[in-house]
Amino acid sequence: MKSRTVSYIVGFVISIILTLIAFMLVENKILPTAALVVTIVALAVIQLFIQLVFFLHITSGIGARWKVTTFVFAVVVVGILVGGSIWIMNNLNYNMLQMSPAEQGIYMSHHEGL
Amino acid sequence: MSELTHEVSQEASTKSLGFWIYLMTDCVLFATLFATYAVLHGSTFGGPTSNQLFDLPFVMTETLLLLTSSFTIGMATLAATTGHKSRTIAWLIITFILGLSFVAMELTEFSHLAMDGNSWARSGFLSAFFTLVGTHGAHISIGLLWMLVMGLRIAKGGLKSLDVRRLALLGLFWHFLDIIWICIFTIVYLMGVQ
Repeated sequence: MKSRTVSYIVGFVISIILTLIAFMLVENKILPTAALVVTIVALAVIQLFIQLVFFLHITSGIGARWKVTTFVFAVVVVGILVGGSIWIMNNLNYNMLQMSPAEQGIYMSHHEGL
Repeated sequence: MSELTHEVSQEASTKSLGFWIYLMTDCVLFATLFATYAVLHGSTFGGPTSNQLFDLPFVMTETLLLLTSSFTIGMATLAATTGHKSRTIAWLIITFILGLSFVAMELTEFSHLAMDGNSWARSGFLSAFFTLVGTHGAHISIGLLWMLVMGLRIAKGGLKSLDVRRLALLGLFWHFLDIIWICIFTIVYLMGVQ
């Protein structure tokens, strides 16, 4: 049980640090926008795995293999759902622009269709 | 291990896996809402955009409250597995107060937005925002109700092995909601104020 307590404390401290770093980066606007977005998404993904391991104990206990299997499956479904939706809707926006012809021209010259 | 205890632990792990699969389907529910939000993020219909609306330090406080409550419910489940009844209840009360403060802060934010004329009816972006964040808030509220029932059961009847197992599932649910909140905090709020 002592190891479990330690695991919770470690997970908690790391999560707090990662959250604070992300918050500080956004508040102080140190990085340019593109780099900032990549950094905070990376920090969130790291925190997600930290919590899966230290809080949800996905890799230990009875049935850990099934937990990981269903989790990976869920990640695939989530990826298809989110990635697919964004891709399709952006493409749709591109092909069905509700703009004036002048605005369309500007938009088309800035964005290349998929 | 005797035949009987083997059967009991088998049943417990099956139930735990069943609950885990429920959480994964809930993940898919939130994924549809995140996808909707991502698609409608720019559809402000002449209304305010995300970087004009959000108060980051306020949301940061909410995040810290929920993160701490995720830790304290872990402590509660640990106290329960080692058979410390009063310690379990104490950690549950702390978790409940933290969760309740989170919901109260979220409702404050929602009411401020609505009173400024930026309700879910204002634009596609705000509809998606309220649906996503509100669904998470509803999950948290149901978790609080569950926690209340668990606390009362343990306080009245003591720590039975069934309660310990149920508390472990509640812990899973709560940690899961904290992970969803990390995604909301990053995608909606941190990326929203860019």
